[in-house]
Amino acid sequence: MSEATEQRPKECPEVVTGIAASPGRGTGRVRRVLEMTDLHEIGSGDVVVARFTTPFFTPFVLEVAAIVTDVGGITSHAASIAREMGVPAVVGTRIGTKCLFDGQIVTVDGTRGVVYYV
Amino acid sequence: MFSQRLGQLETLCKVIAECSAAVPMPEWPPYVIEADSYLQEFYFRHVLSLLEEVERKGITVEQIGQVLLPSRVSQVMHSVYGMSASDLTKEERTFLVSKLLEIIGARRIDPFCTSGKNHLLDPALALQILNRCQLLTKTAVREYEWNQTAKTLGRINALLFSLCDLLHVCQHAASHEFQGPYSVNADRCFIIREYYNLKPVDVWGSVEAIPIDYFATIEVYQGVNIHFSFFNHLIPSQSLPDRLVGAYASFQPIDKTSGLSLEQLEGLLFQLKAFIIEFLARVVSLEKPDWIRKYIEMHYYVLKPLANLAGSDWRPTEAQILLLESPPNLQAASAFHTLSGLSHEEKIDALERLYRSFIFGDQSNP
Repeated sequence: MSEATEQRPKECPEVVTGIAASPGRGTGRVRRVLEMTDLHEIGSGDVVVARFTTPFFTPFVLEVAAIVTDVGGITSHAASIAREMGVPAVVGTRIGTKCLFDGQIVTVDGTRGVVYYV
Repeated sequence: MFSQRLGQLETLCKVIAECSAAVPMPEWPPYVIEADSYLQEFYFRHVLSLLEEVERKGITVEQIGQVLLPSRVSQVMHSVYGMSASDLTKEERTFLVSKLLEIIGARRIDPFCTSGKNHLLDPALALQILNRCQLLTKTAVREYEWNQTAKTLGRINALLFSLCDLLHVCQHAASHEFQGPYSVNADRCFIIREYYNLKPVDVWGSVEAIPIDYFATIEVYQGVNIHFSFFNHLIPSQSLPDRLVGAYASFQPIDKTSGLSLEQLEGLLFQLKAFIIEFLARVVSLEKPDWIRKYIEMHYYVLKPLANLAGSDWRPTEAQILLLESPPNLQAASAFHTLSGLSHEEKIDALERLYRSFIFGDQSNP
């Protein structure tokens, strides 16, 4: 178990589940976006974790490995742009921003709607 | 005739419920619930007046359909829950919604997209258009170059979708029409996208930095099922860039034979990215009243082509703008808050009953 995974609060489940919004699998380092200023911290290959996305996210997530959101459905903004870019996405997890932390390595399965800690 | 119309309205309630159940209460743009609560006081009377005026002028539904594309009309449908708080009678509500459906039906072969298809063209004609275009194809270039093309086009589509959402303040379908899938053969299909009105100066003033006002693509895919929703969302079964086998893109309506090159697409991607980042700095300074006003203006702007046909000003009146200073009536929006915690199926059921009550004027709670 990695150091980052050990930081996971006990109340968080083994995997984070949500709505399968954009098919495919992507692995990368978690980058939480809780404020607009966090957008500038997103790097290529990151897994972006946010409460929800807005149109302002798009220029910053063009090269990410996956997108995970707390709220949203299959036609939400995050789901729509992820499908266009072919980036895996799981939306509506409710707990993504509470259970996934910066630096953790995770695999996002956008076909099944599951986020695994690696 | 009456029973046919009734049946269509019933179908509409079901379709909107299914689409809406997939989306939680919106979190963007800011203050959307308050904005909707103001809008519902006067917006539907405006829509009805425009429809009555064009009818008085003898303008046909087909003529309206030529200027008011289906996705634009479906965007108006998105707001029909607000009718419950308007002063429209039951008859006026059903007339209004039926008329909007007729306008959609003037262009869409399946008005509700219940087949998962949004066909505005006869499939044979769509195929002729495809065959006229000189596509960039997967087999004509090296693998790396094709992967770049597919990625770049996917990113442009994501940026344009976001640009539409941003500039049209959540009314994104008011500035694009995606249609298809049209069949090429058993394993291949294609879609046609048009993004238009990408410089809405009437609402935003100066937007010269937006690199284009119009963009169209034809995209050919292999081994993927693509589903279109009533609200013009596109839902594929597989990653779209991975399945792209042919593409055509243009800054002009699709009647030319040569499309943009990969280098031109990469240039556009760079410009779109830069514009949205620059625009971010401009809109973060907007205050709550600015957001609410923009949201309301954009709902009116969606109907600008209809207002032009009616010979009316498209903008909300000063009296309506003054109403924004009074406290919002959150009654209609509050109905949606009761849905949180329900399962997806329960939500669809509850939403269908809600929409029935909004359209048919039955005020009984779901």
